[in-house]
Amino acid sequence: MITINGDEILDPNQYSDNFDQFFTDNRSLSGKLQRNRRAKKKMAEMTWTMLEPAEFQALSALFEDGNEVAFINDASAYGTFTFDGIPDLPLDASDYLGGGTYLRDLHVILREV
Amino acid sequence: MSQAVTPAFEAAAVASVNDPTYGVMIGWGKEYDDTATFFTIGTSEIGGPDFIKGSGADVTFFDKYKMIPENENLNSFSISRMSSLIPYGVFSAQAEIEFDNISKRYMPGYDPDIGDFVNKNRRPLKISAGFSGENIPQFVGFSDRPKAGLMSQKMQVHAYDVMDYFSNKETTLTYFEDVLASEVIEAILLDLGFSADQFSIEVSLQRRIGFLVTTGMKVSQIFQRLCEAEQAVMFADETGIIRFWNRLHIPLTETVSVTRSYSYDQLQDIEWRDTPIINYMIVRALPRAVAAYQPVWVSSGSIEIQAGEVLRVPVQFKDDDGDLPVTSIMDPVYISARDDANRSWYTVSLDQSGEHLEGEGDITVTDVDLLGSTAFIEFTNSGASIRYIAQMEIHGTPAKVYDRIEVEVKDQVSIDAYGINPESNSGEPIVIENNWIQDSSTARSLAQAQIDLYGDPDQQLVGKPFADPSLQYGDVVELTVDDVDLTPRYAVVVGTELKMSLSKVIEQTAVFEYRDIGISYFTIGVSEIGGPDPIAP
Repeated sequence: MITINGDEILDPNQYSDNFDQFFTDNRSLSGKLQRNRRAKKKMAEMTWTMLEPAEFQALSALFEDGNEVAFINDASAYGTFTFDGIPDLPLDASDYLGGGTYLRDLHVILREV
Repeated sequence: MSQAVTPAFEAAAVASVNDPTYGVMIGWGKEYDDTATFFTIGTSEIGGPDFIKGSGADVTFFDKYKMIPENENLNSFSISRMSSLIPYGVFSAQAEIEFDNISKRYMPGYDPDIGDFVNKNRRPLKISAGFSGENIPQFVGFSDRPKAGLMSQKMQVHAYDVMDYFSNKETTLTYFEDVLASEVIEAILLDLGFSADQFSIEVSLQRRIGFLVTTGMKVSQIFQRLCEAEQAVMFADETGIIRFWNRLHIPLTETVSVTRSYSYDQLQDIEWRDTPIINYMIVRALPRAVAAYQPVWVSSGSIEIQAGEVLRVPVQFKDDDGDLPVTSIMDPVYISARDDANRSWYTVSLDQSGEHLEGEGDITVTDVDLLGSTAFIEFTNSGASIRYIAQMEIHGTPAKVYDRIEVEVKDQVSIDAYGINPESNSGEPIVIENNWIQDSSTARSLAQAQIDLYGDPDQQLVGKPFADPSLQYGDVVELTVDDVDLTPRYAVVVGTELKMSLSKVIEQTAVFEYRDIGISYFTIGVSEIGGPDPIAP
């Protein structure tokens, strides 16, 4: 189950969670490697497909202003995956799907602050 | 040599994976932190709240400010601490810092706590860096006026360390007699309000300076000239402590303490710095010393003083070497006739010819001011008739030139190979004139040191080692350029630059200068005069 700010959200059709890694790798003249780590941050990438307008509006409302949200996925491969993050902007909403259905896909990347 | 760190820090510096950390603090409001005391070497925690005590016009600059951490908004910083291409002198460190300003924290007037201060200059700041939270000092100084832009969403700060403070300061101490250069520096620092635990001054190796005048000079100029005379270096270290290193500070002997070894395993890049060839130097000095009381000025004509007039008579002291500094004069006294007594005197006459001398009458000396090579004698004529000072002679203690030093040193092998000073002085000998050099041995050492160092090109290497914030100016290292060196060569770190940013987590540049070792240099009280030990470079 995934929650945003404590409220359960629709399960995404595609989901990935991982770590943003900030580091620099340096190689000496003899080829020796040294890594300088700066930070390790969590991120989650979610895609919902063929969202009804009401579903789209509910999800979009959580992210469209770019505000910080509390993310929890208690069923991640990492165990419970928790962080406070902000979404990449603008939100990646697809064109309307064909047939006058108003269905759209939504792709959100949340990055830990 | 090298900043003191824990074994964990040392291990992190050479580990395959490490976690560089940093700290930037700014005293935006220049407010006192009551919990902080002045920094005391050996007592205060490095990187702790104790700040360097200061004084002078900007009395609170060096003091214990309330420092606000600004790490959260830091984009990047770089700190540069580089000496020039000569092995002595005064140098200062500089820092460039960039902050993220998306939050508008650094917009003037925006933030309730710091908004009133972010567009002001001379904000004290400290930067530290290290590994895994063990941050050691890298820079203590003060900022220029920060530059912030709304669209750029960034704020840039340029900062200087304490040595820059001296570039606009003058001392109230106008001259010194029979002093060591180190005593001069210490006296000036105390005069500017520094406390003794804020500086570390090594004893001069040159003989005592007979006389030196500081009038009209900025303190940085005084320090620079003293360092040139001594071949010393002066700088502020990472904690803000002012240091004066004499020319023997870096112990290039067989027992030298090597702090690090660098080879292709530790260096990411090497560039050869094109050091200008110096192979022909002339050093000149006219040292002065204060002599006993003697005549230093004689009037050349009579001086008219109207009835009731107060007249200040300027007296310029000169000799064959130009303006003659005088450290004290005797107040002139009236005499009826000239004699051989060692005193300042004047005679009074009724007319301009000076032939009709009379008694002292109504002429009195009411003030005497001595200003270096000029004095002002104030006479008051309290009578009702015009009078003349017929003759006057001033006796004082002049600081006369007692030696004329000129030393010429050249490296004929280098001259044959490259020509005379091909880049450094367009084929002409380089001439240094410094009257604070007291003896020809020191003058020769000054010339010899530079020729020894720079008689050949490429005496400095700019290396990019795996970064270690504990590396310091003056560290002696072993340097191996694997492609050409069969054995390590000794070098001294004469410059460091440390950068941190998100795109390049930590980056260090070190300027290495090759130095010969194993020479037993002349040491006062140890070496035999006339013996084999050369004067140290």
